[in-house]
Amino acid sequence: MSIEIIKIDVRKVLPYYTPSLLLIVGFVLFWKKPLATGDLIFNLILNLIAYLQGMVIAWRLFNDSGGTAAFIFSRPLSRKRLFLTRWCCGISFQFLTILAVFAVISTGLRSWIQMLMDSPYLPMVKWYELSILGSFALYSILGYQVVMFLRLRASIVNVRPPSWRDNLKTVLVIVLCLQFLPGILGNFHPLYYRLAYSALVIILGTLGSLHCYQRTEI
Amino acid sequence: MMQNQSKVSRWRLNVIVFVILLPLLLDVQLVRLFTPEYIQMMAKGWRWLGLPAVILMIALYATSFILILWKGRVRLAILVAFINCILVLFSPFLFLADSDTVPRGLVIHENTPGIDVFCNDVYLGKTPLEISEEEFHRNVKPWGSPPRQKMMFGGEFITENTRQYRSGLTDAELRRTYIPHDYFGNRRYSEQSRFYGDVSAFKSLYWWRFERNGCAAVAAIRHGAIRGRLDGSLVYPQWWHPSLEYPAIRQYLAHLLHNLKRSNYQPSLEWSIHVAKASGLLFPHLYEVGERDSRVMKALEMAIQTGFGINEEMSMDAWEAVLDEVISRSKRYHSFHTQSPESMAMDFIIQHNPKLIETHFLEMLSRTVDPWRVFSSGLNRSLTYGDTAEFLPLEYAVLKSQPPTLFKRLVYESGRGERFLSMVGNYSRPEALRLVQHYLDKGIDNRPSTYFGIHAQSQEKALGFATYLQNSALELELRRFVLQQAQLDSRVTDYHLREFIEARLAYHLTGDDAISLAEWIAGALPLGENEKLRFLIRIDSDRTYRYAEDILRSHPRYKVIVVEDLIQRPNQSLDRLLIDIYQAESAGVKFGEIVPITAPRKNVNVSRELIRAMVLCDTPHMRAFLEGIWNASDRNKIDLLEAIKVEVPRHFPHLHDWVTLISEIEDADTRLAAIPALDQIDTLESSDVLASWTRSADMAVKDEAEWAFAKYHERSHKAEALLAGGVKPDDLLVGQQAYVWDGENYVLEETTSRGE
Repeated sequence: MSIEIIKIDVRKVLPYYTPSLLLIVGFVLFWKKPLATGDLIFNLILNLIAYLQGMVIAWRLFNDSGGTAAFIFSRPLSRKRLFLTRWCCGISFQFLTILAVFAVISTGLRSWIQMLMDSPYLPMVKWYELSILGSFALYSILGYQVVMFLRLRASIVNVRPPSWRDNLKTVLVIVLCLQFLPGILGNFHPLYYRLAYSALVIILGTLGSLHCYQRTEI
Repeated sequence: MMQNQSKVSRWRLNVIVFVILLPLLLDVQLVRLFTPEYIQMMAKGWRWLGLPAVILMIALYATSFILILWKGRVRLAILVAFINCILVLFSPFLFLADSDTVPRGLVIHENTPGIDVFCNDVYLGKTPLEISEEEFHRNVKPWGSPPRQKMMFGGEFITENTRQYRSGLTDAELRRTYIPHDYFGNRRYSEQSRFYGDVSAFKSLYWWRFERNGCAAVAAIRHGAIRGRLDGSLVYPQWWHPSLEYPAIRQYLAHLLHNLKRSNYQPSLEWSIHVAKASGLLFPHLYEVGERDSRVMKALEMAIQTGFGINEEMSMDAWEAVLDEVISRSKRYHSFHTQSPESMAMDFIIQHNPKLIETHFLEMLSRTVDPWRVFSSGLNRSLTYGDTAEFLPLEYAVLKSQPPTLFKRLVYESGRGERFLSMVGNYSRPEALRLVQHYLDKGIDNRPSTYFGIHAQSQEKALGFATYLQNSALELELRRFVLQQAQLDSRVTDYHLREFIEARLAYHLTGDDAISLAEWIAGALPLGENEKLRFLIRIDSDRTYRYAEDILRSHPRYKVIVVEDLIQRPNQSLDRLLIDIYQAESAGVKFGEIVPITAPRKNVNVSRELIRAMVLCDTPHMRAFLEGIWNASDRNKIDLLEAIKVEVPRHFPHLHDWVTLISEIEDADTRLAAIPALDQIDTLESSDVLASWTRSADMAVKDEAEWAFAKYHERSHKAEALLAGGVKPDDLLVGQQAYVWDGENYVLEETTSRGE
């Protein structure tokens, strides 16, 4: 039963996910300086891309058209099961991205391309570059959780379903606020501050989303 | 019932929204609002501007919370919080826009820290000292008239003999114990002028005094200061760099060295403890002597080891404690100097426990993203000041020890900027060379200069990087880069080229490196002949000799420059040149002209400066030549003794060897001329010669020798008393006279009392 839902979700997400994955892999492959979270500009771009990808995945997964919603909610599965299936699907997409970045760095593909581009840093710094994965995963999951929660919350708080414009406005405001300030200045925040915040958002966002999903009216 | 449940559910959801927006609502900038720094800022006079702003910010944050938690108005709350964040971020700049409203403070900062600062005899603390206007006025009461000056000196080099008030000197040239500086009085003077410099310094109500380890400092009146920023504070104070000098330092040093020589350069525990305690004052001077005399350097090292409690069989914890002490001092002083007690302690750590450096450096990297917001000039005499100066000792240690295990990590970090790249560039590995070459080729952003001055900024950074990088494998590349920039861009001026050369000369290059640099300066550097000559005189290489000889042939007037510079910095490679000049002068011919073989070796035309330069040049060839002059006539002996007498206090150890020749003097007049030189040489051997001359048949020689011999013993007693704490460094100054204010000028205290 779940497999059908997964198939639908993959079909929905893939057209948006694939270009974003290519964008991320391309960025990682061709960025000339070492991939380091200490590099302010690189960190900003990386966090922004990761955040946007998380948002896109969540937005696609939890924004069903009328027909799709009717099909999904008519499956003989509990709301909780439905939610967890879709949530795991989104997390898997993000994991896939991290895996792709890991592969690009660890197999030496990035080193090889950079050496062709006459970069003096690689392959010396190859293994240090894997340190970006943590930051990438953190921002990706933050974007995913935030949009998932706000989207599902809107579906029970608002009487009318949100329009495309409403969604765009919400996304823009969130990007502006969460990415522009704490994201850009993320480097200046202590690590424990970022970790504690992420843990809170993941736990509360998931519980809140589940709460909303169980009460969504079709 | 349903309605209540819905309300509860909404409330919970609002709490989650609140948590998600927490970074925005509770951004770090808000946290800063409640830190002592902000509170201090308000206490320093910002309250009228700061308080409404703080209230407004808190009100806006509260509005955001209410909008989210009670009303669920997410987008509106975000907008309010966002505006608030912008306000918090940019508030310091808004407040600072009007300079009259800036709370004023003063930072007193000398190159070496730890100087006691007094104003109107109220102790304010040690340098670097930051004091706000309010704090200053709370503690310091104004004085009605200029104070009695314990010491006052002429503007030139301070010596023991410069005692009298020199009426021809201007206020700026005189050095005083009490220095008028009424920085906070600008407002009082504002009707006359905005600038304090236009107002007579003697109208000042505040007189500053500085001391270090019981040694009083003197300084000239200086006007103006630069704007700066201390410790990340939002107060922008003025900086005052008083450029202090210590009149007693020469005597202080002479007595310490006397004691050291008497113990055959094996420092006693008292000596080590004393030097360690006063190391802030003594270190640069003893280090300078130590560079010429390895025995003194060894003694200084032992003193620093005593000061830091370093010994051969130390535990890991004890080494950690030493490192912590160095780091905490750098933090306290906001600086770390590469020729300081702290740098020497770091050298011991590098030598005995290099692993400690690696672990602490890595720990520091993981602790902070931007560890260095300070200035540095590499390994050579880095003058640094900044709020993260605590990391500088580790940077110094990594630059110096180049741990192989850190190389790849440093390469990784070098993507962040020049600071890490300069550490990588210190390594002699092909990868490091490639990285630096890559940076020099592509590091300058060549976008149009109008584009926020990006080109100029990156060029300035790259030039600074090339200037302070010390790696002989990269030297040619660095020179090529600097010359190329000078040719391509008119903004790269002679100033940059001079900086580049100065940085290299400070490393005291030897061997092939020195020859290569001399060749480059002589051949490629686009500077004037005069300037090139002055640079080359500081390099010990054969190329220097050839260049100087060529220049002197075509421009004999440059002889004066050569001699003067060689007195300041003796250069062994120029011994033949000095001899040639001497021979030409004594023969009465121009430099480069053939000296007649029959020319008598008289020194009637030879300048005293030339003999001084020759005496300082310690090579076998020069020694043999000077011995020849010495043996030629008694008059020559007297001239040489004069030169020795003048130069010995600068602590050139080879001058002590003259004692053997001096001891062979038989003539009474020459002995009389030799006694002051023996007094200055101040070694056990010189005292033995003096002791033997006290039995001389010539009464004049006997009296003078007895006087000098007694002085030697008096010096020994004073040195011991100095180490025991019975005598203060200022007590070593003889015949100092105080000056008092007579209503118009400073006059000798005695004159006033006679007048009364």
